[in-house]
Amino acid sequence: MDIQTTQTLIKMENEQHDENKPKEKKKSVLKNIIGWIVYLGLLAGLIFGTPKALSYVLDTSYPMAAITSGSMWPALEKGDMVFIKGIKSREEVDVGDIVVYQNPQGFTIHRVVELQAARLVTKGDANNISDTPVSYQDVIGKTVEFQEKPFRIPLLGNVSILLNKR
Amino acid sequence: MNKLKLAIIIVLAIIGIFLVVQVINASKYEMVVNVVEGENVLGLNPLTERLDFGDLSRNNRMTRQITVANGGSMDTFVMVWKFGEISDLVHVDRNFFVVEPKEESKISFEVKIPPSAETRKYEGKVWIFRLPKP
Repeated sequence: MDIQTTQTLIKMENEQHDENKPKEKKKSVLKNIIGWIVYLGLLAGLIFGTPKALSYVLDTSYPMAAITSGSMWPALEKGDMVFIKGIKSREEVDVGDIVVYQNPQGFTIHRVVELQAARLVTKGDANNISDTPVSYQDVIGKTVEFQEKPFRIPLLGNVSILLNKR
Repeated sequence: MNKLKLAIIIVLAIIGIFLVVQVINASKYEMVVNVVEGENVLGLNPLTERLDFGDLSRNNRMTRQITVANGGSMDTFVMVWKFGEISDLVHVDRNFFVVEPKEESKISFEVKIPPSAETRKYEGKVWIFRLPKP
């Protein structure tokens, strides 16, 4: 008799479990969807928010730059991503700094080799000749340094290079 | 769900095996250049088992070639992958191309020593992948 009662109880419990199953499945699907929405939201926030946050912290509209040539080898390599710190006055620029400046072709990231009264002269480390002097107003900023070397993330700049190619 | 997982694992395993086979089959060469002081210094080491650019002074360049022959009956897709310290100095004239059956093609590797190079040995590797083109 005891065994029969136990069997009946187990059967009833199983039936209750079966009734709860669709509800649990729905809950789990909903949880998954919410999880994905939160995850995608965080990802989008990181992708779009990071440049803005960096722009604020580094005080420039161009906080990141991709290295597209080997003219600064070996200090900077093609495909590197570097961070740019905005400069407010010419006193912040010294010979030996790696600066970013705007020119008709786009942007150039080269090392300062000479400071003149109204302009500065740059040169790529791997180049033999200096660039045409540029005015201080055209200088956007200089590279962020870490342990006296430009802070760079290898290969990450390739993403930007590929996107610009398209 | 389990079937989906199994399918994903099988696909990843096939891709993994394919990649391992391609890496094993790839032609692998060592590249080396010795940067020396002076002007217009060139010293060639003509070895066939590796791309030895010899001794070079700054602002000089040296080219070596590799011939890829397709002795099979199918088109072969060729892909060149260079890596290591020297790879920034080496320019490959062609990459991602097809060699037709019974044809051969030359790939030029040009090393150019910039003025910012140190006087020492720069090394690296080049792998040439040959994939049958369906």
